[in-house]
Amino acid sequence: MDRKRKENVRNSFWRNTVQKFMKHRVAMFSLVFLTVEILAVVLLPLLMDLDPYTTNVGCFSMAPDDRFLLGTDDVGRDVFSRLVYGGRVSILVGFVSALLSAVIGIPLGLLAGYYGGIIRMTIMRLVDIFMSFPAMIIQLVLVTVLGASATSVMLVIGLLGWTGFARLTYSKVISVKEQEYVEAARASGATNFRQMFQYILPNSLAPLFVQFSFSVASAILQESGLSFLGLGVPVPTASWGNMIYSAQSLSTLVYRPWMWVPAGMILVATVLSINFIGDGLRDALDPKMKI
Amino acid sequence: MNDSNALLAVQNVKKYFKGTKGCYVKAVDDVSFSVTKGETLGLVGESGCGKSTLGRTVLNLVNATEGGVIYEGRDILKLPQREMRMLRKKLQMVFQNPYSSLNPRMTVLEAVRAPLDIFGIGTKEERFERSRDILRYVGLDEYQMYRYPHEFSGGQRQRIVIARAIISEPDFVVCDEPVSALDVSVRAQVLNLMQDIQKERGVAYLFISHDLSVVKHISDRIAVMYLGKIVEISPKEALYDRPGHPYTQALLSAIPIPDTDIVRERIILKGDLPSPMDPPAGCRFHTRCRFATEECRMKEPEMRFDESGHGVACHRWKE
Ligand SMILES: Nc1ncnc2c1ncn2[C@@H]1O[C@H](COP(=O)(O)OP(=O)(O)OP(=O)(O)O)[C@@H](O)[C@H]1O
Ligand code: SF4
Ligand SMILES: [Mg+2]
Repeated sequence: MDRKRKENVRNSFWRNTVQKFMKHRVAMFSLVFLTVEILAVVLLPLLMDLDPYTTNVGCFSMAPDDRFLLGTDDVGRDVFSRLVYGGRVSILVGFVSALLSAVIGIPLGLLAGYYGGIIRMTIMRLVDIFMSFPAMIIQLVLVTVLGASATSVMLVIGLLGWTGFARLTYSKVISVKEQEYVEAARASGATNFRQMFQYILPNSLAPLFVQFSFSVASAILQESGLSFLGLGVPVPTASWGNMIYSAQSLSTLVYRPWMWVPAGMILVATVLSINFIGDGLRDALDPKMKI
Repeated sequence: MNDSNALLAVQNVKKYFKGTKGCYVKAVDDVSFSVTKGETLGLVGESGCGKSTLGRTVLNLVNATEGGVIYEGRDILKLPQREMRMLRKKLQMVFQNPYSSLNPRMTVLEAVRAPLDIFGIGTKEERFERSRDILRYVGLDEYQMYRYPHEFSGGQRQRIVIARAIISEPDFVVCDEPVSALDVSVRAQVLNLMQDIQKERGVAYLFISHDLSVVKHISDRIAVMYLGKIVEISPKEALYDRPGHPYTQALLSAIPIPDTDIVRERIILKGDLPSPMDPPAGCRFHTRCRFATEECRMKEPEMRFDESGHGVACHRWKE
């Protein structure tokens, strides 16, 4: 009986949030777009005969035709297949890196904001140190040490991305912890842990969703940045990043746009739609926003 | 005053906040009083005189600068954090603003059940039933338990806050202006609810308000606070009939007496409220007191009690 009621509670909260999210047209459109995209990169390889790796001898740099939907790249691989497989990698890198950053940054920011004092000093100093590093150079060094692979790219981007989460959580927590309901929780006998995770964190989440989406988008972009320097996801594995930057030469840029324009467009579209979803979520999660 | 049957004895409590330039805001300065089981002690005073700070300090929600609060034979201000936390089951608080004292992310049921969850009281089913019963008792329907606080009016929210404060069956609840944020039309209902709760459960209240007429309605005894000090404390009737302190007299003269022809002389306080950073020497009230003498400017008056337990901190009381 009680359990059933509890589910009702959760349902009503989520129903409420979902309803509000659905009113947010741009976010809704972005969500549909991203869902379709993720379904496509996951399912297409199972449904179609896609081969991103074979170099088709004699078919280098071919313009799109009915055999190669988006043409071939300069070693004769099918661009459309690479776009789909590259999407799997890029999106995965984005989400896993952002998740890693959030899992490190949010608890640290929460501790710093809640306890203050020496804990705050230590954590925020660590944030400053991390932020003063030129991230790209550290990433290059780390990838070189770990060896270039999709896993090390995720790890490196994720490990260096926590500062944004920590800062944002910290600044939100120091205002939320002054709220009367936190003092009320303390007056009711709540432990520090309960105050942090049941009262402060849930009320600090909304901007973190936006940060998360930004972080996913940024990780996707960082992967392409690393690819540009030859330290992203290594070929022959495809990623949108290495597709764009494998077409570095001026002649490719000007005369063979099919090699990079689709990857570039889908990258931008993905990054934008993730950010819009973050915006929509922020508004939907705000309990004071009426539908 | 006889402390032996006191539920809670506050002894020489001080709370100074660090202000600017090394100054201290003496929000609460050497306050002592006690509360007996099941009574309501009203605490009145102007805005900024330290009422909320006193309430918070008594419950050890802010660290006292000095002093002690004796409850069940122990000074709770000196308890380790863990033991203090366990005592909070018995010492609860109702806050002034029902709009900000409920977690917006918790349903009413979760909010009210929180003290039971925190102290692990009862089984899951029992907690649910107790929460439902107490919400019914304060006047909410069962279907409303799954809603979030923003869906309720101020009066309803304060009922929820009250339910949360009494669900763990406390002995003592600090009520910090529980009705002043509410519409006048619902104030009486909430006050009556609080009185009913007291009658049925024997809980003692420290009832803070800046409104003497509200305090008069609900209190057994009343303490009057001025600039961080209690200047008069007394059973309600004595305080209203024979106010001893010039400050109390001034406060009382400002409320109209209904249904009588008595025209009370309206005492206008001269001057502004001095800053709690730099309270006047001697009697803190001397800058605004019409009876002030040289002694008042030099020497701080001690609280003196008569046989009836009426205490006044004034050199010229009963002159
Ligand atoms: N956290 C704090 N830091 C510094 N000064 C404080 C703090 N809290 C309260 N004060 C000061 O202590 C004094 C007493 O404040 P308090 O809130 O206890 O007054 P109050 O009697 O409850 O007033 P009100 O009727 O407005 O609620 C005020 O001068 C206030 O500025
Ligand atoms: S001690 Fe003196 S100044 Fe203070 S209230 Fe009494 S008469 Fe007035
Ligand atoms: Mg106050």
